[in-house]
Amino acid sequence: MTMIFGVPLMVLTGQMLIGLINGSFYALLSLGLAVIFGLLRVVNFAHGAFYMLGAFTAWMLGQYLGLGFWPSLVIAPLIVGCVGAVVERTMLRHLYELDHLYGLLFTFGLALLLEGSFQHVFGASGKPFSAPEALTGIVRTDFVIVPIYRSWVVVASLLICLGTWALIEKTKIGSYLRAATEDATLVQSFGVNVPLLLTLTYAFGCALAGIAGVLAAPIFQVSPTMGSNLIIIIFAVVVVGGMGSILGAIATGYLLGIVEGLTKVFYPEAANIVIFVLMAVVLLLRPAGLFGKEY
Amino acid sequence: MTDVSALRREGRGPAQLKVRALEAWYGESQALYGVDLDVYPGETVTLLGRNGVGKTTTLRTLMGILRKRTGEIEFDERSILRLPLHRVAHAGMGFVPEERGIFASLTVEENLMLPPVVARSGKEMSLDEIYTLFPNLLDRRHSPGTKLSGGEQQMLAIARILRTGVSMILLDEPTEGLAPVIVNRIGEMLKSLKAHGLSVLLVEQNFRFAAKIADHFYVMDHGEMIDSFAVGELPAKREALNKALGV
Ligand SMILES: Nc1ncnc2c1ncn2[C@@H]1O[C@H](COP(=O)(O)OP(=O)(O)O)[C@@H](O)[C@H]1O
Ligand SMILES: [Mg+2]
Repeated sequence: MTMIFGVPLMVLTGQMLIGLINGSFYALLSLGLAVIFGLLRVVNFAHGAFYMLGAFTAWMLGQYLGLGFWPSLVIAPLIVGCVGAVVERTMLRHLYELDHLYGLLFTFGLALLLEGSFQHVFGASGKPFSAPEALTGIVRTDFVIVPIYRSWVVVASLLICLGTWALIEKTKIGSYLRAATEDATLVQSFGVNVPLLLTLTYAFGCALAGIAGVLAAPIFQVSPTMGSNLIIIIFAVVVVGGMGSILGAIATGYLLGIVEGLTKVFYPEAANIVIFVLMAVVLLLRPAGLFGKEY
Repeated sequence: MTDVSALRREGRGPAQLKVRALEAWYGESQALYGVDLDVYPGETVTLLGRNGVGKTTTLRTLMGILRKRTGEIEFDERSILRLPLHRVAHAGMGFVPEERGIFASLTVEENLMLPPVVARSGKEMSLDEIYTLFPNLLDRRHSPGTKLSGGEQQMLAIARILRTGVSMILLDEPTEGLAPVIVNRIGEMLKSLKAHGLSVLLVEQNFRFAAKIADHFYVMDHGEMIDSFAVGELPAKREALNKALGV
């Protein structure tokens, strides 16, 4: 058996892959948080709940309408995005004028409400959700075992992240978003409907969380608390990467996923806390985050 | 204050911008105490006044950026007081802020293309015309907007509003902090706007600069208008102005 640093290669690549998969979710979720925070200056504590909502919506579409994975992968994030739009239009926007703390408290409350409601209706236990037929199975080679669905998730999330980056950096609507992130009032004075842009941005960020939820459903099961377990780590990722940087959020997501995976190999005791240790170190040495701008 | 605007009104259709008894507040603190002002189509009107008298506030209030306001603002004979901010540009009014507002995360060309075209009034400039007028913007079109020099940023700030086809432009101290050569170029630019038929409401401390392009002057103090006169009366006013402006 091939060994690297005294560790079987198979174990190493296996944990790298798990790290990459977790990193995919970290990247998708922290990307949405960064986009929302950049423009709205709202720390979206409901992000984990929207992730859960995405997974549950996909599960319900299957359960009640008999829809398969592929249609759900498109429809569930759209539904989550619409919920996000309604939340922004009817509630969140009334808080922009107030202290940032209110946005944080509101989204935190919203997360509790969503999770509580789902727990009440569906119970706390996880619901199984199968990966699509075409992506089941495992590819086995001498040095790595690759579950097909999981590696597909890594590629899909990478494409979604890069697509989002291109949308923001390379398109007209992206230039509105970047400019409004710097000075929303001036952009609005140019005749751009900034209130609508805020709604769309929040909806888009929530839809990204929704996509992550659907992708996660076959891997982690669908449960009301799946988001709150993850969101704490996501905030640590965001602190390490720095708020407001798109590429920074993506890169940090994958990076920390891999770091976590490798820690599991070389020092398993620290695997659950390594991200938080890194967060503390970054806060001490570079409070704005690895890729962050000072605000 | 002599009602010169009443004289000006004779024989010239309605004012394009008509402002009456405009008051505005930053939170609880009042900044404008009754501003009256007219801009006629195609005119360049200059707002003079010492630092802190409320010139910038006047422009921000007219544009609808500062929204705690009372009074009357009519643009093309339509009240714009209740329009949401993003509708004002579509009514035909463009704003170039004092700090220029060039976006660092956008390239020069993205900055230029950012404001939506609001009207095909025939007064709008195409990208080609802008680049012909400002070849240095063409050379630098892929660099970040804020990498331009102060003068170039000012020209970019004006040019991007010209592209939109607005019929009136509110310009806040375009020559502030710029070298004399650049100030002259901006003067040329304002003359060509005028030749295109654009109306300009210009805030300017440098009244020798303003004298070369303005048709009409207003003088502000403590958040209200204290004087108003046509460019022809400028020589007679010079003494009083120097005092009022503390030059
Ligand atoms: N954002 C603001 N908040 C509170 N007060 C302001 C603000 N901006 C300007 N002011 C006050 O309003 C008055 C007019 O300022 P301004 O319109 O900027 O003057 P000017 O442009 O003529 O130099 C000043 O007393 C200034 O202190
Ligand atoms: Mg000013």
